Amino acid sequence: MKLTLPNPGLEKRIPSHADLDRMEVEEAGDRPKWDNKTQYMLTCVGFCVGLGNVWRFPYLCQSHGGGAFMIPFLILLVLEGIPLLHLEFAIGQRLRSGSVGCWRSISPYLTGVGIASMLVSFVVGMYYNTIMAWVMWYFFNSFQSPLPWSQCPLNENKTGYVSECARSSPVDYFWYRETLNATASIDQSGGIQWWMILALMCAWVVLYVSAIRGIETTGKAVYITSTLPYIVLTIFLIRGLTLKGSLSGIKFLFTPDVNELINPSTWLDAGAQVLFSFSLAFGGLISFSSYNSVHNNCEQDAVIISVINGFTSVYSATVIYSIIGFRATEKFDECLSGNILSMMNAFEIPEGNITETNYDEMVNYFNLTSPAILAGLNLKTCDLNVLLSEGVEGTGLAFIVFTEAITKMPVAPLWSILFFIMLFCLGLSTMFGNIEGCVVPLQDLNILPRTWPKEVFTGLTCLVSFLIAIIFAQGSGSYWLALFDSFAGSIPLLVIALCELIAVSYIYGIDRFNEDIEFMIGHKPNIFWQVTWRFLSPLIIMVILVFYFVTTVAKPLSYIVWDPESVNFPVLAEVGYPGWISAIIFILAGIPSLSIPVVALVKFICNRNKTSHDTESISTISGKVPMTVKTSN
Amino acid sequence: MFPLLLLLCLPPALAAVDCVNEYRNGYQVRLSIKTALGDQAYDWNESELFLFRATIAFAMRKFTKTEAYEVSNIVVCNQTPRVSFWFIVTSPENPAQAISKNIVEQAVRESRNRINNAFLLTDKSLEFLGIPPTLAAPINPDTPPWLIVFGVVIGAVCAGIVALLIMSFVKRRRGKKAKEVPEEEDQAKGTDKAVTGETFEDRNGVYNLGFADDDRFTQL
Repeated sequence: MKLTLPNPGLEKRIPSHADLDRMEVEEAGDRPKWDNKTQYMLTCVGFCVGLGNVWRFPYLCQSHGGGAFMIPFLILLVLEGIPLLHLEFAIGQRLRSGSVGCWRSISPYLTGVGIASMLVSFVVGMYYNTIMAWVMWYFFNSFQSPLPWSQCPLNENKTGYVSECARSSPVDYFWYRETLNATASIDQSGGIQWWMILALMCAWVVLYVSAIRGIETTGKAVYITSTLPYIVLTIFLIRGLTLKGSLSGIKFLFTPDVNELINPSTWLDAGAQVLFSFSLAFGGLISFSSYNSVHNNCEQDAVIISVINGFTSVYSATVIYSIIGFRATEKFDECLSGNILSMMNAFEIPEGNITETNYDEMVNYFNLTSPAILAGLNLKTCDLNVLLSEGVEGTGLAFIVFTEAITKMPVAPLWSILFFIMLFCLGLSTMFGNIEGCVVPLQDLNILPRTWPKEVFTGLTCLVSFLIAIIFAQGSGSYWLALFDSFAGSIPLLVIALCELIAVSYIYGIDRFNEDIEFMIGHKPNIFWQVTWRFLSPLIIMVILVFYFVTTVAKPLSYIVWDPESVNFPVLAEVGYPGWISAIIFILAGIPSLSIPVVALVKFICNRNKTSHDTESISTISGKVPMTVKTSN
Repeated sequence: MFPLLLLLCLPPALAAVDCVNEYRNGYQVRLSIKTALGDQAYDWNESELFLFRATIAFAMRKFTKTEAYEVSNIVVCNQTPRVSFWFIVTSPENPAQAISKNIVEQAVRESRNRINNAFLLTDKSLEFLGIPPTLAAPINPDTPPWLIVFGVVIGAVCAGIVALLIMSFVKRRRGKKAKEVPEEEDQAKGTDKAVTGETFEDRNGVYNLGFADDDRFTQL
């Protein structure tokens, strides 16, 4: 009754249950193994929990109705995230191989899925580690007091601050000028920034030393990189709650707006966030799971890791918004004091007559008595809600908003060091998964000789990634990174996730999969897993993919730039992409996605040629060898 | 006689600088004591104003390197409850003549720190409108601190890489040696040739005489 596509020769390609038990006892020497379950769990948690939990989820939460966003997020976590996670764990554990090996075993035509995973891991790893380089740069610069982004540098004749800095803010200036040295458009390369190359080199070298022998070394590193972020988050939570204004930030974050649930983009963003946050479809999780023992309870692991990931998102959102609340309150107070000062100076009123409480009535009074002078003061509107919702996602959150908040705390360098160590650990543990998803398929594809040690494979991957990532060290580097982030890390992942679900449910066969799971953990997966694997999860992902595709194609290709000469400076200017960007977008999003059908086609053609060649040779052999045998009489 | 006396009285009054009308030849000063000091703010009264005039006189003395200036040479007018006022510096020789703004500005700039400290205020809370404060240059160390931290991190990581590579290289060589010795033992068993001592080296490289073949020495 259950729909299964024909898949001849499957039995020959995969180890049988008896083989698996035998391999378990014999202990295959050259396949790596986890030292203990903790290492495995910490590695998976580290891979899933990344920068997105810290700087994407809080923004989504706050912009899509605060506490109400939890509802679509949790629903989609259960219907989309957990099933896919369980699927990847189970298939890796069953087929004892990385992504290419697994999909190739299921069907040679599906090798493209593994190759797509490898390409996506490679490209995402490249730009993700560049963000790590930025984090390291800020980390290096945190060892001084006062912090370099707390004050503007002086101009040449020392009469005032540098104009670009004076018009924007010291944190903006440090990020856009002294870190990125950003040009005004992606066309203008701006040259290679040597300090960025150093930071990039450092990031790749640290990654190499941690991942040099695969899980042997990363397994030890994750004890620190996966646990330290939680410690630092807790420290920041305690620090944040003692600061003025933190509770207004948390309230702002969680205030529910139930009307947002009707908005389809809320559900779309929630679905996309669940998928990307779980680091699914990169192939890393399949690899990690394949090093487990055959009878490991992957169902339990999937549920535990999903819960930890969801909890971490909410926890870090709370911490981030407590600090943002503090910063917004500080800025609000500054704005108000500035206005009060100008009013006092203009109307020669003694200090203390205008306070926060009677500010509004004093403004009204002066508006009635001397409106001309009041208008001439150009008082700024101070709105706490506007300040709370200022540009708070992605790099803007970490490198501008949060660093500004840190400068207002006492003992600022300490908080800065802690914050950037946390970001670095979060990113590094995710990079372990990316490297795994890149190196293991490379070994499985037999492109390079198998006898080469793993150190060489890892070293080559790191070296090539570093060389290509030099694009991001240019003046226009951050625009390239934004481009890669929007296109390489979104649509291909959705396509791969969809293919994985279809491959396991319909090409491998859901019946066979159920039996495998029963063999591995002792009981068949219940009705929840059946429904989600076969219908719900593929449907949800297909819907997200279609909407994503349509919205990306429909909206004009534009990006935001830091342009000191633009009209609205310091607000980032929106500029259209140049024409040749379409080619780049095609390479980033199209090639991994298209590798699935292309490889299938290539294999199909190769197979056709091979079968016809085989029949020829068989007929030739039987023609040459005499088939009659003389029997003794 | 009387008109003469009157005439004699007038010049001294006329000789003083007319602050109320000519205040624009001086500088406006604005103090924000409550904002700067909060609870420890002091009240602004005539004595504080006297101190201010004395510090300006001191600044003028320091700048011109003479001891001519007195507190009476500093004329203050147009005080407001904001705590702001105008002041003009008059020349010690001729009280009717005001010192040029330029010289006053330079004198104030030179002694700005002393003036601020006399009132427990800063450049921002004790403003001289029209005299911009000299901005403190940020400290620029010779080696940027980030380069030092970078060097430390890179050094540690490179040492780690070298150590790990050497360890795996040594492990691989030991693994190969362990594989070679059993192979050689197999070979030795298979051949009839007189064996040399080296083949009987066990894994520790110790030559065990017990296993040496003595056939070489016996004669048949």
